Amino acid sequence: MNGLDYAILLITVLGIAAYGTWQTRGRHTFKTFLKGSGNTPWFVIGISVMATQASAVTFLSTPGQGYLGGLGFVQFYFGMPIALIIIAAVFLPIYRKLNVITAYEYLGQRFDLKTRLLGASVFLLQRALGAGLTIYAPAIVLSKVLNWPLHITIIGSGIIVIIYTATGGSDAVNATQKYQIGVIFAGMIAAFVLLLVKLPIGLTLSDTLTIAGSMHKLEAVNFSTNPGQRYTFWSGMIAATFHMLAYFGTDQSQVQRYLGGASLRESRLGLMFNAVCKIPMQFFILAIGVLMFVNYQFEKPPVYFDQVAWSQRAAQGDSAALHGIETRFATAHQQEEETIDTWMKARHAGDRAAESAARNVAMQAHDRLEAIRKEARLAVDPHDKRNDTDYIFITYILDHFPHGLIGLLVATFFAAALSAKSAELNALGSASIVDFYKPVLKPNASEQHYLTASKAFTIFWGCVSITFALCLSMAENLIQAVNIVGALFYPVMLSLFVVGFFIRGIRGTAVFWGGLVAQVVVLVLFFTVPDSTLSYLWYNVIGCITCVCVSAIIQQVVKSPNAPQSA
Amino acid sequence: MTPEPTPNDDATGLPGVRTWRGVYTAVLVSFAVWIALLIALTRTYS
Repeated sequence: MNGLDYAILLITVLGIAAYGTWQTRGRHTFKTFLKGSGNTPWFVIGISVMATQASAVTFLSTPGQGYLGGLGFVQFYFGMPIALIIIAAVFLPIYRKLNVITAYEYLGQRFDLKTRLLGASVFLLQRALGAGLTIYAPAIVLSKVLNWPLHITIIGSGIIVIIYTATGGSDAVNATQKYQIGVIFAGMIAAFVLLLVKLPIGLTLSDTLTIAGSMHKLEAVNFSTNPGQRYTFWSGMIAATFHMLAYFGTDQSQVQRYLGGASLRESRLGLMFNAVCKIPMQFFILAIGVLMFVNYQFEKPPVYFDQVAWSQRAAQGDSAALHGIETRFATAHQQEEETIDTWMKARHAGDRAAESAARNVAMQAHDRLEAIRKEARLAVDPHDKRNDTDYIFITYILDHFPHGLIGLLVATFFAAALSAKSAELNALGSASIVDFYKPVLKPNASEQHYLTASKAFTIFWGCVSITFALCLSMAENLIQAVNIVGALFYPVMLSLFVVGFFIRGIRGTAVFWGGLVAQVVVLVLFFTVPDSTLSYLWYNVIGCITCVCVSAIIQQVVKSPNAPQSA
Repeated sequence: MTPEPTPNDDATGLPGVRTWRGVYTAVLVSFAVWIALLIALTRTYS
């Protein structure tokens, strides 16, 4: 990065944060700090919901996911339109009718205090873990760009977000997210166009798709019924629907975004905006990864994208072995490039037989290259726990993009991190104060006291997430790690609401114990059943069904009404 | 704070789609079109 890049980065990130703080100066009461002013239009809600989900992880990690696994990850989002329609039609009218600040207030009104505290506790736990992952992504970028130690960049970027969330509250989050998403889209569109421009001369779009398709990067839809395969049509349509219902319908970081709408109509339209736009958006980001993959067929990539880890391993005395891997990788890449060149010439000449033969040779060369990459991964970590997926896109940006655009794309990661992280901290602070502090610890304090306490909780959760990020050792790439953490806790959160909304006869005690049993079942599955047998997305379905069934059985056995109140 | 639901909440305010059922149907149709396009991409290039 040069001076121009740093200038663009600083002006963008600090400008957006300052704007949010200035826009909302002196207009806070306790409720507006947590929930916003209640006059947010649908487009801002839609952008805010999108920006909250699309953290820096999305823009850093997803192109890497596209590079390695192709377009298949888009199936994870198949459940989103269905889930958002259910939320707009069922969840949202109830939340607005009850005029709640947090989703868990509904559980208190429908069931009892202990069920409300269970829902809020599970949310706080999983969101604090998730917030740690969210802050990890921009820290990776800064660490790579500035060559600073990772722990310094984690603490630095965490403090920026804490300051502006604690001073601005929910309105600041909403006010700035539309500009952040503008920066994000500008950066990603620029990256897409540049990747198209950088394709070798003579390579048509059809050639590009043919190469990517032959190497299994365009398998967007997979109809396999194997529950061990993470992303299939069926896991997307069924399991991901449960996951999205839990995330958008019961996770306070999202609920808080659309409850700030000026009316039910504005909130609904904001959700429908996301239902329509999310799949194309994710497809587009994954396509950036696929384009990067095709570009790297004609230009040698690093054998291992996390070059800091590679250098550290070399410094530990393995430099001769690692150099040997690099040399073999360079030779294999050269061979692959030549075979693809032969293949494309045969294709352009219209010689089908020669094209087919050359394609097979190119596939074999590609397999050899992938085997060497795996060897490199094992050389860095013999247990194969480390993953360099998150470093692929940032490596490409720094090596190939012009100055100015590098600054814009690094700003993109920060804008995304700021928007998602601030929404998470705002929601963590809200749930702490509304669901724990106010009803349990200090019921009759002044508005000013609660406002101060809300800011204190926001700072507290910011510090917790920074601490968690400092302790992280990534076994998964970030985008999958975020979803796995969610899938461990979402089943219980969702099932409490499903019972509340749809099964009138079940009371607080039954659903409380049903929720606890479901949580145990999900954790047992996670720790005992390999992911290759049962993919994490299915925990959402299993946990939810377990809670509903156990609650119904307990209700039948106990038969003691406990705060019977229906929505 | 959040206002109580009003009769205006029932109107979508969108040209051509006046009911929420219509909005949800339009969203599902766009979803189905995307799925069809993704299946076509998969089948064409795999």
